[in-house]
Amino acid sequence: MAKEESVKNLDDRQVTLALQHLGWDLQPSSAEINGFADHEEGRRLVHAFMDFVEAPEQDDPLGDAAGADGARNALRLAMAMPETTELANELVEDPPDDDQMSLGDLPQYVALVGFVVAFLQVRFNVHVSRHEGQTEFDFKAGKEPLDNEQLGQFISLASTIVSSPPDK
Amino acid sequence: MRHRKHHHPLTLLGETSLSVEDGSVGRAVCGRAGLEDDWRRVKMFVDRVVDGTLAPNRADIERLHGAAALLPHAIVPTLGVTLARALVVELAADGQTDAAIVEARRAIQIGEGVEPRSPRVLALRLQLAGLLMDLGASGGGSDPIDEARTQIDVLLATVHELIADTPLFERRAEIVGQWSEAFGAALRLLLDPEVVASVPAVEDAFTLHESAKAIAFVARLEGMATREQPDPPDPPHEGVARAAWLRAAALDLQDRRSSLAGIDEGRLHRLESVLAELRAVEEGTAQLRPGEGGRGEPASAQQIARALQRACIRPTAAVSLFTDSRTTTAFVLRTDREGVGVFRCGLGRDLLARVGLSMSREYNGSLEDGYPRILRNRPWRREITEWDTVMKQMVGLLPHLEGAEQVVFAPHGPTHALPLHALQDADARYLAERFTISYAPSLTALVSGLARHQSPDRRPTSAYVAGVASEDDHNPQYFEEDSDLFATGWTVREDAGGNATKAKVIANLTSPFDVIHLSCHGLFTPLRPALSGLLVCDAEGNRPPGRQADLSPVQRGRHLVSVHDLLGRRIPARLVTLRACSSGVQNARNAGDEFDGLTRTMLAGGARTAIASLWNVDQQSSSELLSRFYGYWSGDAQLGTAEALTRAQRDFIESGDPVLAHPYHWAPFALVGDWR
Repeated sequence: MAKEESVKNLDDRQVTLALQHLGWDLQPSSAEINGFADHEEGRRLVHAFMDFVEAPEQDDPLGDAAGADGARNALRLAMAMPETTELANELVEDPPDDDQMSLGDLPQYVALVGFVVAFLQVRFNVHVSRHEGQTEFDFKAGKEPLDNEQLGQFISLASTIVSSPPDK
Repeated sequence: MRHRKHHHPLTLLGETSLSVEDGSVGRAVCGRAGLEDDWRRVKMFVDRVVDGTLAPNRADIERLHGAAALLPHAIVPTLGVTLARALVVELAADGQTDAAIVEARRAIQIGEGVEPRSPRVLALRLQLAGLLMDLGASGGGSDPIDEARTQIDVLLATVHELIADTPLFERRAEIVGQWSEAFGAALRLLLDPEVVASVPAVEDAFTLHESAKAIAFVARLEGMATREQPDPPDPPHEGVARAAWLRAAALDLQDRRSSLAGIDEGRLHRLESVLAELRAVEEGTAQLRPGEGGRGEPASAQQIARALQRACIRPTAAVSLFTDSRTTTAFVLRTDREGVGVFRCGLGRDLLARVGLSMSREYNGSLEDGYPRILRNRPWRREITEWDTVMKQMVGLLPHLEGAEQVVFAPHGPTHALPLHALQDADARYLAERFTISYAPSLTALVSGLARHQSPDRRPTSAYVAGVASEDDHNPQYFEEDSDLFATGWTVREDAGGNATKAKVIANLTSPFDVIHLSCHGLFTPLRPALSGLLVCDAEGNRPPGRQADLSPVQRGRHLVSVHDLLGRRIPARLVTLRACSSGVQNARNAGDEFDGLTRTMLAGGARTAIASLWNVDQQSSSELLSRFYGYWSGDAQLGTAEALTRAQRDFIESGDPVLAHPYHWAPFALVGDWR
């Protein structure tokens, strides 16, 4: 499949930059969590989401096919979802690169968290309450529900984040 | 007997460095004023009013007025003036203009008897003048305008006294910057049809605005012995070298003044002796210094017009901008017309600064929050909405440029960061399509530069190219293969990668090449501009680290070619190209127009012209653009630098490729200085 080949052929940096663009493009203006600087909070949000959907714990999510290449899977998901399909396909066809004469350092993990957090906030009603250093998240479905297959893909992606050490 | 200070607590208002030793009196006073809960809150409140972080509640101000009445006589005026400023703002915001005017007059009367030159009183004069002008403009007659004129006259006279009493040019610039709003108000009085009594005094306004622009830079430029003609003779070498050293030392100490305060008083005393020595050297060499104005004095409209007529073959418009909080004023001098044209529009400093920041964020992305860079092949996905506002307002400038072939912009404040050559007219044509465009730090600086160089009579042939990536760059070849930009016919000396050491780069900067082309990362240090510069390899040939925040002081010393390193060195190149990330970024020193940056350092060092980028350039398109520029320039001895760059830009705009025709690709470089 041509698209599948295209995703496979991207190098890691291109995948990272593509997810960075998708995350920002997707982010609703009402997002409670913005930007990538706060990816630790994003990771906790994803964790709370896993609890919300009562996803079964995976001992070694990085070991299965979904976890082995979470970032690429995120890109595949973005290509399939209506809100991201146009840009995702454009980015896969003509991938972003480090083409400016400046430094830009963004770990792939952070880009992935950014994308997943933005996606979560598009498809679920997320309320974040911060009080005395503690953050709590409430979820409600109700925007555009994911079908079972999509939800399965997304949970698999989210479990990658929850289980991966932040420096990956 | 142990001496004990008896500062009344309310004397501490705005004087946070003093210690609080007599809380009981403060509590008593505040208690009488109905603020008995916590007198310290009163102090904090007024401190925040004084530093501008709090817009006070009117009832609180009035209660504090009550408290002030109980204070010792000597303290009342200062406190009264401070509070009156806040009250005037409150009243004006409430639409009670008459009451605000009465309050301002009253406070000025108190203040001028005690501290006539204090910033508090001067700020009140400015506030009062603004209110009076608004009143006059809305049908209040000529009396308010006359009174406003008196206030501004006194204010500017005081500012000039403060400037005259200040020995260091950079500090003078600081004062000008601090009172740029006063210059703006004076321009309004001279130019705004709603408040001008008879005919707008355009030439006076021009002289006034020019005196507020880049005085320290002009002084530094005039201090350099880089005249190509030996007439008058150069000052003695050792005197120039000593003056340069002293300037660097004084600048460095001034940069660190706030961090030294209270820690190392000895260093501050040393600063004073350095300045005294500098003054002596300057006075000793004053008669040898070239330039039209001299000592940072502004050139007049006539002097500038004459200099432009001598230097320009084609009809040329020089446009000098001045921006205050509400208005941008453009003065236009033409080589083919008499007099000074003027255009004013409602573009204030904040909006223009926002546009610059927005442009930088949309093109460069942000490391701070991970905002991605522009996609090179889809640049139109990024919009800078307020840029449209700028263009709509600036369209009114275009009639002043009709018939000119060349335009020189001298920006001011935030407009230094904007690509004015990418403004569009009503037909969506870019200015760069209609005119050959270049920039100047100020028109006085331009005239000074033109006076120091002859028009070149041969095409450029020699170039020094240094390219250094950081050790973390994904594509080091983007930086280190720039000798390819120079086609056949050029003699190029290249130091790339590990060969481009700090010592070599500095040595070659001072060697007689036509072009110095530097492709490396820039380091911008807003708090210590003299320590901004370019990152190259250390003596062992190691590339600099990519994470600039992690640079240790030792690493800085080894890798950084700083503004400080270059001060006092003669840079004889016709052109210095800085193809680093956002190399044109400059720092507004103390809110004035003294932009510290690499571009000005190169010009101050004697380079005729500098090219620098306004945002992080795309490797591919900027290579192509510069390659075309160098080709055009070296291929025709009659072609100036600005015309060659404009031709390269037009190639992109007219290419039919919507990617290259986007300003992100064709407009990143600004050419500053001598365009010939």
